[in-house]
Amino acid sequence: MVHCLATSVIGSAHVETGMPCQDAWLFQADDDAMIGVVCDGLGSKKSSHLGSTTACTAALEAWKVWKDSSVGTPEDFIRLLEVTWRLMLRDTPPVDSATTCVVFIQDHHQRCFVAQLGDGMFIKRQDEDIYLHPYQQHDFGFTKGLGLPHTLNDWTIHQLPLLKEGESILMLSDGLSEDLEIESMSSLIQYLIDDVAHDFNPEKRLTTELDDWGGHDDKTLLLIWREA
Amino acid sequence: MRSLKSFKSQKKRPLPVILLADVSGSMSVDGKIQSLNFAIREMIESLAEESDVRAEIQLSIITFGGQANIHTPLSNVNSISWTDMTASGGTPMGGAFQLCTTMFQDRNSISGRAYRPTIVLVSDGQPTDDYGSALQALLSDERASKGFRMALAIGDDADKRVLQEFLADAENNRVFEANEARRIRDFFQLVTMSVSSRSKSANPNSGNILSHIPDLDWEL
Repeated sequence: MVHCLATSVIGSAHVETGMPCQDAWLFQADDDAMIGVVCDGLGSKKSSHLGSTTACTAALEAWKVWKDSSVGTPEDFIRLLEVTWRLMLRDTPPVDSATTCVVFIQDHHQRCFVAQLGDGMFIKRQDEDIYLHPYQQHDFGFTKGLGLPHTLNDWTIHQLPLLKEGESILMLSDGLSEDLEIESMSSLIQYLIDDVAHDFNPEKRLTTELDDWGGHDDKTLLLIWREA
Repeated sequence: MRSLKSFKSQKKRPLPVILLADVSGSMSVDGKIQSLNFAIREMIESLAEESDVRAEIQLSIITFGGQANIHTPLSNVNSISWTDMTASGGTPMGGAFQLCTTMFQDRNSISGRAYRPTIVLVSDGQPTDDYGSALQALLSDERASKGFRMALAIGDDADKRVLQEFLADAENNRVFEANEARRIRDFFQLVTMSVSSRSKSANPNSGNILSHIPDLDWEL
């Protein structure tokens, strides 16, 4: 059985300026098929909160179309996502809605991959081994994103084996990933599964803990795991 | 009881400052090198005393006089023990640009976690090497080009055109001018205020470098 634990919390910089949380996440599972998305709207763009939530919805709509055919590639999914995002924004200019995007997908046709545009972190844990998706780094607060000039080559795409029992996926926005070290990821995932997910109210507990994290930036955590 | 916060890295994110300092022979006259040494030492002391900062302020000094050298490797300002620079030789500014670009390209030196670095260029003369290609390499490097840039021209003989080329399309592309040695100190106080302000701000990556300094007293 697949489980999910996720939340987004607003950063202090946005609270102080009265701006909304610009992070967004989405998870949906349908038997063995599933999609997880984490998006981080760019702080400098006025409608990036809309951009990030729309990117999550657009990814879901693109996934629904893509997973019904066995012939599509991950690149085809990206193309669908990009077009759907632009269409769903309607009159809002994409440049005002710029957002990063990390997507994890698995479907009934034995396809499984991660795709990432811009900042954020994707990790897969198998036993004690950690796979860190090698996104293209855009340092010092500069990033690629939907709504910013980019090509398909700016997406980093990696095909993965299907998620097995006991394995987990952790997706983070940079408000969290930049304060974490890879060495602690395995024990962090174990803590989330053993402690937070077993709380009386896991989402509230996670939100409280992320609020306590500190830092100016919005923070999003999405954990997916298949019970052993 | 364990909490999510216990997994948070205790290491502050670095905020690198790279100073390209002209120590050619001409800097030895009119007390310029003495003023520069004093100003840098004062800047290091001020930055080391800063508290309540989000970032670990790091400094590297690349000198160019006779040849380009790394006088101070990139390190925490708290751990720098200052040694005065001496002035002699020509002005191989291109060599300094090359060393700076190499530093940016080395992720072990300037890590991906670092906040946006500041590059400061100080010179009183004209480059004596073929600086053009090295400057273009710096300005087009994926990482080095993203740094904040500031420039100071010392005295009338400084090549302001080169300093302006260095600033290119930087947020504040004004070359500061110090026509007397004491103004060197003023400039470094400005750099100190700028770095200090960023290190305490909500987002040290963002913001106009001088917008943090409300009462800028500088003669244009």
